[in-house]
This record gives sequence, structure tokens and C-alpha cells, in this order.
Amino acid sequence: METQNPSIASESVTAPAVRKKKAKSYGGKPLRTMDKVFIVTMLFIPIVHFLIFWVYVNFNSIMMAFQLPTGEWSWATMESVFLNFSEGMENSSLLISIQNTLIYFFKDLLMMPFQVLVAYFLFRKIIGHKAIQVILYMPALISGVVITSAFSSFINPSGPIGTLLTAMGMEAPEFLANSDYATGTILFYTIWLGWSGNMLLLGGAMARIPVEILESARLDGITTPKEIVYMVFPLIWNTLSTLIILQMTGIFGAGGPVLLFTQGRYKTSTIGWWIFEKINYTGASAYNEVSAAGLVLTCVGVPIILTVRKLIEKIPSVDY
Amino acid sequence: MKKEVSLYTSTPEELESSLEELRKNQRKNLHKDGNIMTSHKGADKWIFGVAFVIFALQCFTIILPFAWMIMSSFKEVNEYNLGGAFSLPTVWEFENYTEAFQSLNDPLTGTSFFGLIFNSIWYTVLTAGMASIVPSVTGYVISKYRFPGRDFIYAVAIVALTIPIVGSGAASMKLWHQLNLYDNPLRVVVGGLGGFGGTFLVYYGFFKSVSWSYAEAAEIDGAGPYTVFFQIMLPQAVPIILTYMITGAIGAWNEYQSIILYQPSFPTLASGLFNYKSNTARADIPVYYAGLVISMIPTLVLFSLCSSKIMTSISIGGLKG
Repeated sequence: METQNPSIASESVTAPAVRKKKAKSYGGKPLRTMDKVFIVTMLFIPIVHFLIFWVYVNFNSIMMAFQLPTGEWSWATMESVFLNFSEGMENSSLLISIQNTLIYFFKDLLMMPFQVLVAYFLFRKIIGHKAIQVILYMPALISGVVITSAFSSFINPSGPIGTLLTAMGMEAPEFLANSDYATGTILFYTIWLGWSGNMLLLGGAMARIPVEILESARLDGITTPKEIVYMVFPLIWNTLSTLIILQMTGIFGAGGPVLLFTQGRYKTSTIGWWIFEKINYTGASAYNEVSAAGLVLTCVGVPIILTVRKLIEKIPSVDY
Repeated sequence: MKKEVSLYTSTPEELESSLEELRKNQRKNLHKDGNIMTSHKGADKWIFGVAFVIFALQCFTIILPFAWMIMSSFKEVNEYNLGGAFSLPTVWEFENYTEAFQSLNDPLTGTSFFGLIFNSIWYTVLTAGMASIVPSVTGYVISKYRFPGRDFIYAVAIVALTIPIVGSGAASMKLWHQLNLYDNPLRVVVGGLGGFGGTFLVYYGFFKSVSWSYAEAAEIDGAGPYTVFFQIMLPQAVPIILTYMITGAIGAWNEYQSIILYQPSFPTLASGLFNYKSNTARADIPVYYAGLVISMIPTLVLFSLCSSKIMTSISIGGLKG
């Protein structure tokens, strides 16, 4: 007959109860008073900060959506937002902003596979990869004020592109001062500089792929396109899915440097710009309108984002 | 003479060594230099060739506007205004750079070029310093201690990160006014005390992977939790802290929108130069370009000194939870 060690038996009975009751440090020991003091002192300020600047601010933002600038409760603010929606695409600054924001958002989403490709070729050490990496990363190093100044002067009718078009007998339009071209031009600018987006995070994820796995696949005769689709994508899925979720979270923040290029003129407004313009230039009288519009967009956006997140989480990630 | 290997007569060691030799030969045939990452054969050569051409074109188009702007910053103002977009300066006006220090300013506040630089420096130091250190504290405590509410705090931090709340900027601005921190440098300090967000997750993951045996060894020597954190654990996170400090410094130096919005009386180089261009009717463009070139120098120098650190050490995991 098998005898049971009494000490193990008693531990197995009592341990779960102790684990539930007593807080512990990572090492498994119960927390001492000094540990508790440490936890409280270290977390007090960040938690208070979070309660004020996230919980209170967002709660107050919801409240403000149902108030007038005077603080009086009213549906008028919310009604003014819906009135803005009903003005149609030609007149509603908010609808134009939403349309442009969604264009930027889908562009960002569509660019992700290309960003993976860029990261892949740099990971596979394409000729001149170090120089390419630095040059592609340059836009992240330099202020938007500098880049947009260089870009807008470059495509100006009196700049190099304008001079070139004139020399070819074509009209050199004001790309950034014309409703037909302005949004397209800013979109082009974001695509032009967007190849290297997430380059560091994707590159970091690829760098962690064990070389032996890729090597054995090569020995089995895998081609580069198959390697990207069947090896690299699944192996970096953990990072990629996080980036997609974060991208979805920023759905209404998508846009280009509208402030620097057009200041919202020529139908280039985005939601980000619309909010900035209302807060900065219109001032306190527009705060409630911003909160109301924000609440409507949040109510539309959250279910979409949570659904996409659930779907993404269903795709299993590979642990290695 | 080489011994023949047979599945039936050879020892397992002989089979293993023979297999290893076979693999080595296959690798040699596949890649001349034996490095899978750098060697490209067959169709790969074409794929990598086409990719290289695309990369080269992209890099060229990125550099071109900057090169043109730098060239134009040496032109005399009348020569620039007369056109000749492709022509080199007839006389290289190096004085444009000294002129930038003297005449460029923020016309809305009257802040001089040196004032803009000063504002950029303190804003960058405070923002980057706090954004890289404060989340390390929350990341460490929540990953290493089990206490009531810990899982709840972690879950809330994730939810806050993944739920997009639009339009809270207005309520935020109202709060800054109520706290008397609007247009006040203290706003940067108070704003930087937030310990959650994406950076928190990175520190959380990092500290979770650090063995607690370091802390136990220090505790045997009489160290308390503060000593363990500041002298044992935090130094191990220095590479991550430095990476966030460098990238944070680059971001803060280049920031303009939040400066215009929240601290208009303390313009930095980026926001001041934007204000100069937007509010000066007859701006001297070559001098303005010289100012832009000057504003690029600190971040480019910082990057050239720390590029390997920036390029290698950031990673993120999942947001599940």
C-alpha cells in the first residue's frame, strides 16, 4: 500500500487557502509591512493621476455632451451635433472630417502588410540595409514642421516639381491650396513617409525569430514569398495583432499633418484637426460640442473595435 | 578511408555526426557564406534586386527635399524669390545661419530663437525623463507583487489602452484651466506622472521576466523593497529606460501641436518656427530654412550617437487580458 507523506498532504490541503488570503511578493512570501508601504507609495501618484486624468476627464467629457457651455443640462449640444451631420457632405465640417479620417485609417491599415515587407527585407539584410534603415527612419527623427516645410516648398508651383511640370508644358497646380488636390496630396505625403511605420517594432519581432527555424525551412526548399506568408507572418503575429488592435483603437485619430499643411482648409479636415480647431481657436464655447461629437463617435467605434479585437484574438499566435 | 555509415551497424553517435555533416554540406550548397540572412540565390536574387531598386528610389525621394531645402538655406533671399529651383546658390550665404539666430522668433509671444531653444530643452528633458521612468515604477510593482486589486489595475490599464474615447481633449483642457496649469510649465510635470499606457506594458513584461532571486539575495543582505527596486531591479531596465529616453527626447523635441494647444506662452523651436512661418507676412525663406536646419541638428546628433540602441531594443507583446 502506498504511504503518503503527511507534510505534503497537509501542505496540499492548506496551501490554496493561504494563497487566497495572503498577498505575496513575487517570491511567494507574504507581504511584509514595508512591502505594503512600498506598494502604496509607489502606486499612489500614478493611480491618483489615472483617476483624475483618465477616469474623471472621460466621465466629465460624457457629462459635458449633455450640458451647455454655461453648465446647464440640455439636449441642445447633442442636437447640434446631429444637425451638423444632417447638413450633408458639402456643408458639414464634421462629416468631411469623418470621411477624411476613415480614408486615412484604411490607408494606414492597408499599409501594414507593406510595412511588414519593408521590415522583412531589412531583417534579411538587403544590400545597404543599414543606410536604408536610417534614411527610412529619418522622418521619425525630424520635426513635422521641417518635413512639411521642405515637402510643401518642393511641390510648390515655384519649387522643383512645379518648375519641372511647367518645363514639360503642364500646368503646375497649387497642390495644397486646392480642394481637388489637397487631401490627395496630404494622403500621398503620409504614404510616402509611411513605409517605415512600425519598422522598429516589426524588425524587433523578426529579430526574435530563431534563425534555425528559417534555416530548416530553407533546407526544405521554401521560397521567399512562402517564407514571408507561412513563416514570418505567423511568427510575428503576436506583435502584428497588437499593432492592428492599437491601429483600430486610434481609428478616429487617423490623419495627416493638416495643421501644418492647410489648417483644415480645402476640405482637408480630419476629426483630429476638427477637435484641435474647436478647442484651440473657438475656445471654451466649443468644448461641449467637441465632447458630444466625441461621445457619438465613441459609441460607434467601441463595438467595432471590440469585435475586431475578439476576431484577432481568435487567430492563435505561435510561441517560440 | 572514410567509414561507411549504416542505419543497422553504426552507433547513434556515428549516425548523428554523419547527419550533422550532411546538414553542413546542404547549408554550404544553399548559402556560399553559410549565412541564411545575407545570402540570396536563384529567384531570391531577383526579388531582392527589385526590392533594392524600390528602396533606393524611396530613399532618394526622401533625401531630395531635404537636400533642396539645405541648398536653398544658403541662397540670398532675392535669388530664392526669383526662382531657379534647380540652380545652386550664386553666392553661398552662410550668414543666413547667424541671421536665423538673430531674427527668427515666435511672433505671437516675441520669444527669441535662443528662448525657443531653451524652451525646447527643458520641455524635452522633463517629458522624456518622466515618460521613461514613471511607468517603470508601476510596471515593476504590478508585475512583482501580488496584492488585492493588482489584477484589476492591470485589467483597467489594458482597457484604457484599447478603448478609444474620442473628444476628451475638451474636458482635459477644461481640467488644466481649473487646475491653473494651462499655459504653465508645471503642466509638463503633472502630465508626466501617469504611470500607465503602452510603456507600462513594456516594463511589466520586462520585470516579469527578471528573476526574483536577485531580490531574495539582496533581502538576505538586509535590503528593503526600495533598495531592491532602485539598486537591483531598476539598473537592469537601463537599456529600456535609455531607449525610451532617446525616442521620447526625439519626439518631445519635435512636438508642436500640444505646445500650441497647452503652453502657447512657452513655444519650443518646432512650434515657434511654425508660428513664424504662419504669422510673418514677408518671411525671409532662406533664413527660415536655416532655422529649420538648425532645429534638426540635435535629434540627428542624438540618433547618430544612439542609433544601434534605438534600432534594436523595442518590442511589444500581446494585449490580451
